[in-house]
Amino acid sequence: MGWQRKVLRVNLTDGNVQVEPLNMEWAQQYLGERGLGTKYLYENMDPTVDALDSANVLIFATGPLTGTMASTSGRYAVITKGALTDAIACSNSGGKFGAELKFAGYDLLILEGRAPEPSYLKIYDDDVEIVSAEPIWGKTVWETEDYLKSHHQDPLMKVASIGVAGENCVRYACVVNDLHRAAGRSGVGAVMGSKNLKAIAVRGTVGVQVDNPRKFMEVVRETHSKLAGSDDVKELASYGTNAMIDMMQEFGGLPTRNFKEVQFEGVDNINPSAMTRVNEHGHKNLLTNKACFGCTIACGRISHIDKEHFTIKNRPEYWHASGGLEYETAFAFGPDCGIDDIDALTFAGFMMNEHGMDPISFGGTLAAAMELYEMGVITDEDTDGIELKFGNPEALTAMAEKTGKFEGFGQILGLGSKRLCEKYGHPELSMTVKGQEFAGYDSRALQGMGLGYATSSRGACHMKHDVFGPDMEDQTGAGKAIPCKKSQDKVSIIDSTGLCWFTLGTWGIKDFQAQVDAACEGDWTVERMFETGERIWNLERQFNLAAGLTKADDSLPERLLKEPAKSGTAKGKVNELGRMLPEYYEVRGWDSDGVPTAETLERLGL
Amino acid sequence: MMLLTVKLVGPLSRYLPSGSEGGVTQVEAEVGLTVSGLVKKLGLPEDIKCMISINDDLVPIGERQSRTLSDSDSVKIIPPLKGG
Repeated sequence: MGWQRKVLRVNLTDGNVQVEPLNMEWAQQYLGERGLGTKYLYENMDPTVDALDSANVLIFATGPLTGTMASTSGRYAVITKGALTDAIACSNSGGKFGAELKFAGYDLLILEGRAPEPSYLKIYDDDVEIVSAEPIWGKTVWETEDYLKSHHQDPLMKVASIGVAGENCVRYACVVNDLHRAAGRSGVGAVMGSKNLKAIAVRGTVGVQVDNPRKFMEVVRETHSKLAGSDDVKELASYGTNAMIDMMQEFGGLPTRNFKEVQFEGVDNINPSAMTRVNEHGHKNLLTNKACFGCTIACGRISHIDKEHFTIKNRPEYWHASGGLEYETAFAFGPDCGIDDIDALTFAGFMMNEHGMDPISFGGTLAAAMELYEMGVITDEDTDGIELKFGNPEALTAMAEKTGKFEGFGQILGLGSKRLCEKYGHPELSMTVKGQEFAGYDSRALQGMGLGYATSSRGACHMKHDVFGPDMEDQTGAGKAIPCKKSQDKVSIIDSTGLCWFTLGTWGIKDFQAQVDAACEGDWTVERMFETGERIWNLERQFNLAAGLTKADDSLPERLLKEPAKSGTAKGKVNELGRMLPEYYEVRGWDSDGVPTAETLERLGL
Repeated sequence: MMLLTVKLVGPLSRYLPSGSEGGVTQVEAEVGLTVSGLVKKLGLPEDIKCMISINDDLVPIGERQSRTLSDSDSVKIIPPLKGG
């Protein structure tokens, strides 16, 4: 158990709804969530189809521990071919939606085809219905959730939806659940929009069972206890993920002004201290923290904006509290765009949640556009008269809203930085891998991070590996391939459990293994966990190779390979990808073109 | 004696003497003080996981016991990085 043993398959084209048994052989090979979703995707679609074609498949996958009493058990993943990257996308989220989908009795929800008219999916346990979305098409994520709960007279319903950005296939549109948690990366919301699917509204009552309840309770008591006594957890709860901004600033790895620099002079105005500082109007940005389902960490931030701030002065609809600054949002809108106005950053964050967009990709795209504007390539004529200079908070907030509403220059920003920079003849200014924008860690200071970015299946991403330890110790490319590979395998399996990897500052792989082993049938050892992670990583690679990606896609922008860091601990350094990549391929058991060898595939049962 | 400028970043600022501003404190120390010695002098746990730089030059863990500090050095002690 742990698994519900049921898959809900919905063909949006013809309205056919089927419940089928979970393939337990695959569950034993891929565990759940990311791994199992990847296997179902690989077996159910042609990787060469366009991401926005109706033949793309969109999968919502829970893990065997999703919805259990384990801490942080609210995770689910959205797996598809990404609209931003044309590679496999696996974007996971917290909140409460994932657990509710599990409570409705499903491990996976597979969405095929394209609805003939805008629709939403209503799931009440076995009662599944495709409903016209006419009243909510064109509405925001927040309006959609309000409408569905009100219309169905069920405030306990959980909703995952897209905004106008997703409806219009903004390349980095995301799926937002529970108002401000998101499957944020790679454009999974654009795929949902291309299917004419506005929302999934779910309510479940069947509960979750585990294989060995007594053992599971013992293990979970111990893992809860570890988190309760952890300094790492206390810091996450107190400071949130934005604590990282001070660390990256001092380390000299905080990408600034489209990665031209690695330290930002305005960081003290947007860091955790600034979030708790009382301003001249008596306003404090941060109100409280918030936890996802089952979480005993509560790293989420709940903030509000100063009513005197230019963004909301005459807009009382934004005077409420909502999701506040996470590190990646703060980095992408702050240093990367050269802006240190905390309320402007918070407002732009509200726009991302309200309209359903990935803040990392939006910020990265805006930063590239700002550089093009300062070069004179983009002009006021293009930008609807808005001065798109680095450091201009009005440009950030106006463009966030325009992109969310798919208006004016926002439609161009909605392309993502790769397509935007290509459109204006400067592809070298796009800070992306496989078309996806970087997170807030500069790979000239963090060499292993660069290798992880280059080889990540879904494009530049900081959440698919964990090489921070070696990167903190040594700023060359030496010895990074093995920890990069091992951590990719480790994260792949953790992403397949239904738990959150923000526990990793306290839990080791044995803590995850013990919980999985108690909840699931089969003997889940640490070795098997790593092997399963490696299998998942290689299957993602197989999908990408079949989709047409090659070794050339495992690269970094020239800026990071040729323009040395100007300051900080990595001053004078560039990323040494050329040194690390061949070693990585060898460690992976791939040939010199980055293709898994027959021996590797056979060893992993692929 | 020598005078060091020490910055304890983010959550580590709780180890600073009261009255310190911006995470920074001045530390008077005897000549020959090592990086490990400074960590002890500041009251940080000896086994603390962190990065330490001297004048923006990262000091590997293996060199902390032998690397001595000089007058006017600027030392930063940064908590471990993790995803976010």
